[in-house]
Parts: sequence; structure tokens; C-alpha cells
Amino acid sequence: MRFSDMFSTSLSNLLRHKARTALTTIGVIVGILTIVTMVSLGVGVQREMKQAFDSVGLETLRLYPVTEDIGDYDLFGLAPRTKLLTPELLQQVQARDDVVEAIPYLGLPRGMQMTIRLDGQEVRANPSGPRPASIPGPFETPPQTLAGAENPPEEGGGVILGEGILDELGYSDEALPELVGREIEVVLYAPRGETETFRFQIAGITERQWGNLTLATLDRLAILEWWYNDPEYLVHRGYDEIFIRAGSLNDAVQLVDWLGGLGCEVESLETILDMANRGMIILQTMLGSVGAVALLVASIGIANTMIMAVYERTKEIGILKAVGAAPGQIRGLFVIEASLIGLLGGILGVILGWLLGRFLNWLILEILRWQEMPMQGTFFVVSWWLVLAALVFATLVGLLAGLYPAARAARLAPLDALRYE
Amino acid sequence: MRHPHHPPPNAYYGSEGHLVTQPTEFTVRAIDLTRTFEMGESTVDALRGINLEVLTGQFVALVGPSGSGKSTFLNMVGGLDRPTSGELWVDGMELSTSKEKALTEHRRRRVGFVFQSFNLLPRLSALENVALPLMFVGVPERERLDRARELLVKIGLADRVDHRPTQLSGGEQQRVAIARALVGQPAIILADEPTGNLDSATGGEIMALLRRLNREQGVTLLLVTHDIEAAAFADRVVQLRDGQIVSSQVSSVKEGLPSEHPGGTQNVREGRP
Repeated sequence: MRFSDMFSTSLSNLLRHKARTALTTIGVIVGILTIVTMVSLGVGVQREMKQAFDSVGLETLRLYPVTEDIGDYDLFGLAPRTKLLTPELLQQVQARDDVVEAIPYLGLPRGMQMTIRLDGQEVRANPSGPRPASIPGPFETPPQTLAGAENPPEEGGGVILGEGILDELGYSDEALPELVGREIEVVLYAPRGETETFRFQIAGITERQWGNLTLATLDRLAILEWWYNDPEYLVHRGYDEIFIRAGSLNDAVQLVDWLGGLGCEVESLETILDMANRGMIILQTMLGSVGAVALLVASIGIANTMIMAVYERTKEIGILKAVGAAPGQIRGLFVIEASLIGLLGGILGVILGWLLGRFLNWLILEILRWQEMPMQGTFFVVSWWLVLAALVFATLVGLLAGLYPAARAARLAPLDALRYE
Repeated sequence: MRHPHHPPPNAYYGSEGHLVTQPTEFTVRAIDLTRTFEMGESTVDALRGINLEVLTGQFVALVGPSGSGKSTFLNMVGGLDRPTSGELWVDGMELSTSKEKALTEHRRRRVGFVFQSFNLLPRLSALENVALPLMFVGVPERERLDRARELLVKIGLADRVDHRPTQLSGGEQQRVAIARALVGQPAIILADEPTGNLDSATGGEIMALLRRLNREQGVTLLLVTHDIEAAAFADRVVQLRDGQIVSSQVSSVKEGLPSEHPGGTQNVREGRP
């Protein structure tokens, strides 16, 4: 028997009971829809994460000082550091051939009270700086530079202001470009009662929401030296972080070993990505399992429908056997019919899952826009392999569910089947 | 094929004209055939040692009351059932020891069934019903539909080709069923009460058609019936009772039908005493 004949016969058998076929298919549709939606969300998040990491480059490392949890905290409540990221270490790193760049970073303490003054007005500032080559969060819109430079000048003396703080100071959006180049005062209020004023030029204005005052590392050092009243701050505390870009991924691996040998705490981006990916896989598996349970239920529905069909068509099976149908051919007809239910459910499930993903994507972005969250991107990604896997899986579920009913049909004794009414 | 303990099969038909002078060909040969059904704790002997030959090109009618075993015999010849003991040869193949696969092949190539209740598939057209057996042997669709159409035209149903069984009269349905039985060019057509669901006039037409096919196409026919009128169309009428053959006679020449047996009615004992 030709496969095309087997296929068309099974298909016409399936279409004989349209309502029943439709109801049985719904089970598969729900299962596949769930799997496709869940997995496509996982894929979307993972892809976004990978893009974020790729934008920084996997051949990068982050070096941290080693801090002791227990020990003599200093007057400012800072934990003692047993391994410092000193300027000497920075030079040592920068001198290596396999290092493309090494950028130090200094954080400002959270409790630091700081204001900015402009045109006689004073508002509270929230200093926050871009850490070197920071990884954007998934779906996060990179902040736009509204005027001037994107980053403060490395040699110091310039700041980047958030538009929010300028809004507070009463400047309209149109006035922003004119502010670039103007001088502002940054005033620090130390707990010991002293105040100090630093003068900067406005180097640029950004729409960044978090942290409305961005300073170069050199200026941060000056602020820290005054804050802690320690002109030798860098010698005593060192940098908070050194960002290193290696020549290649291979160099990065070797650098990790070398820095580890020096007693520093090293984090490579690759290990972070690896961990994140592992987390995503667990999440995806969990989400996919929900769909798998739905499919299991669907397969019981298919088996039930097919057993019904065998009962209904007992006489017909007898006739087919009398005119020369082999047991294998009867089995094939029923298995294909069951597989077709699976495939049909799979196709509809994939289409509906894709549509649902698109709708949810739109909905999430609408909600985010409404909440003024700076996020963008595709949350649900239905890739071709997901479509293919879903269709194969759905067909397989149908096929497996059809095996037992098909075997029953194939086993029917022709004479008994012919007499069945 | 020959059984050592039996006389040469042509010995019985020595008087039947040409058969004497040339080697006799058998389409069906049953030797000591029995069939026992287990019904719970009791057993029913449906056939108790049948010895019967159907010559190639012959039209044989099996008659007898209900439960005489005539349908059981027909089903075994058709490969739908297996004998309990004995040998059954159909077109050169022994069926009692055949595996399921061989029986399927047997049903495909050697026999064609005509049933009392027609057994057409209601959702297929007459044409598709006739073509159906060819599908299972892998004949391409166009070719099998062509062959089916040819047969339906030959049988006088050219204008009923696309009708569903429900749109056809009983006689037309049975004609379609006969065409379906013929489409695979089997060695023998097995007809189980083909006139049972038809009025006598239509039944007569169906029998005339079978007779015509037998005469003109040389189709070997084994008919099971309890209708004396239907049996009268056959070359030979074999009577069964309680699973045994009680008589076998070459039937009288039917008026208007050409006969190969000018000898008229003869009583011949079939089987061994």
C-alpha cells in the first residue's frame, strides 16, 4: 500500500467526525500552545541576556578586592580589605601583553550627602556612575544622551547630569543643550559637620533615570579623599573594581589563573553567563513541563478517541481485511490517523502560541510604557527549531497514543469483525 | 498437491467430457477438512471431514440448512478462518498451515468475496469501493480507478460510478460488490448468500450475472446458498448437512444458458464412505 493512499485514507477517516476530531485536537493545542509560549519566553529572555553580554564581550574580567567579613571595621564602618587593588597592581595588569585595557572604578559610599548648585538653586544629587562596561539588563533600553558627551572626561572636571535633576531645577527640555559647558557646584556635607564644594563643568546630559550625577574616577577619588579625610585613600583602600578586557577569550582564561594566583577575586563574564544560562534552562524546563502535563492529558484523549473509532469501524475493518488489507496496513491507518490529530494540534498550537507570544509582548511593552519603564525588545521568540520540535513532539504524542488502539484494530479476527454490527 | 491416500481427483469426473483427456486443474481441493469451534466448555463440530474439489472454471453451489457448515467452508477457502485439521488447497496454496501474512496475500490475490449484506463502505463511491482492494496491493490511484471503471461498465453500472451505496438499489449494490470481488483478478469468487437480501427477480439477475461471468470470463465460482433457484445456476450442487457432504450432483441444463455438461443430471458421491 502506498503511503500517499494510507495518508489520504487516514485523513478522510479523521474528517468523518469533525466535531470529535476538533475536540480531541483541542487537548493537543492547549499543550503545544503552553509549551511554545513558555519556551519562547525563555528563549527571548536568554537571547536578550546573551546580547547584553555580547555587547560587553566575553573576554572581559572583573577584579575585586578581597574583603574580610569579620575583623576591625574602621570608623566609617567599612570592612577591612586583605587584598587591595592598588595603583601598582593596576599598572602591573595594564603592562601585560594580553590585556587590551584595564579600567579602575571607585564607588561612592551610599550614605554620602551631596547636592548640586546651579543658578543659586540647590537640589539633592544622587551620585552614581557607570561602572566600566556595565552589562545592560535584559530588555533595558540604553539611556539616550540628550546633549553633550555620553561619559565624563577621563581627566576629570566634567559631570554628566540626568535630565531628572535638571527638571527639578526647573529647566525645560529645550533649554538642556544650552546647559552643556556651564559650571555647577557639587556640595558635600560630611557627618563631622564640614562642607566642601567641588566645581565641575556640565559635560553632557542623559535621560538616565537612576543616578543623576555621573563623575569620572579621578573626581571620585578627590571626593573620597575629602570624605574620609585621607589623602592616601587609594593606598589604604585601593580601587573597588578593575575592569579588564583581555585580548581573547583564551587570554581571559589565563588571566583568571594569574590574578587568582595573586590573591585577587576574579569574575569572568563567561562564568556569569554560564550560570545565568543554567538558571534559564531550569526555568525553561519547569515552564515546559506544564505543557508536557497538558500533552499527557491530550494523549489520553487521543487514545480514547481512537479506541472509540476502532469500535465504530469494527465491521469496516473486517471488510478491509476480507478484501486484502494486512494487519500492518490496518495498524498503519490508525497510527497515522492518531498522529494526524497530534500534528493538527501541533500546527494550531504553534500558530496560537506564536500569536499569544506576540500579544503578550505587545501587552508587556504597553504596560512598561505606561509605567515609564525604559525597556524594549522581544520577550517571546518562536524560533524555527521550536516550531519544528513542537510539531515533531505533537505528532509523536499522537503516534504513541495511537499505538494501542491501532494494535487492537490490527488484531481483530476478520470473521468476527465482519459479523460485528 | 496430490494426497497419496486419495485417488487422482479427476477420477470422479471421468464422465465430464473434456476433463478426462487433459490433466484436471483444481482451484479448490479440501481433504478431510474439519473445523471445531470451542463454545465455552462445549465444542461444536462445524465441519466433519469434508472432501471436495472445485475445478478451475467451475461454478459450484454449496447448499444445506443453517448450521450445515457451508459458510464455514467458504470462509476457510477465503482465508478468513483456519481448519482444525485436514488440508485445504486453493489455487496451489495450502491454507491450513499458512501464516497470517500468507493468508492476507491469499485474500488479496486468489479470492474475491461477495457477501449477503454487500459490505460496501458507505462513504466511498461505487468506483472507490470497487478500486479499494487494489489500494492494499499498491496499485496507483489512477490505474485502480481505471480498472474499477472498466469493470463497472462491463457489469452495466456505467451511470452509477459516482453514486454512494446508499444511493444504489440492493441489486446495484451487489453488482458493485461483484465488481469489487473481480477487480483483483482472483482465482475464485466466493459468494455467501449473494441473493439473501434481494427480491427474487433481482436475485435472479445477480445469479445470471455470476453465471455470465463464469461462462464468458471463465471465473471459478463457489456459491453458498439455501435458495434452490440460485443454486440451479451452478454447474454442480453440493449438499451439506451437519458438517458433511451428503450429495453432489451436476445440475440440469438451464434453459437459455450454454452448458459445458451435456450429460445432464448425474448423481456422484463426493468424499469417501
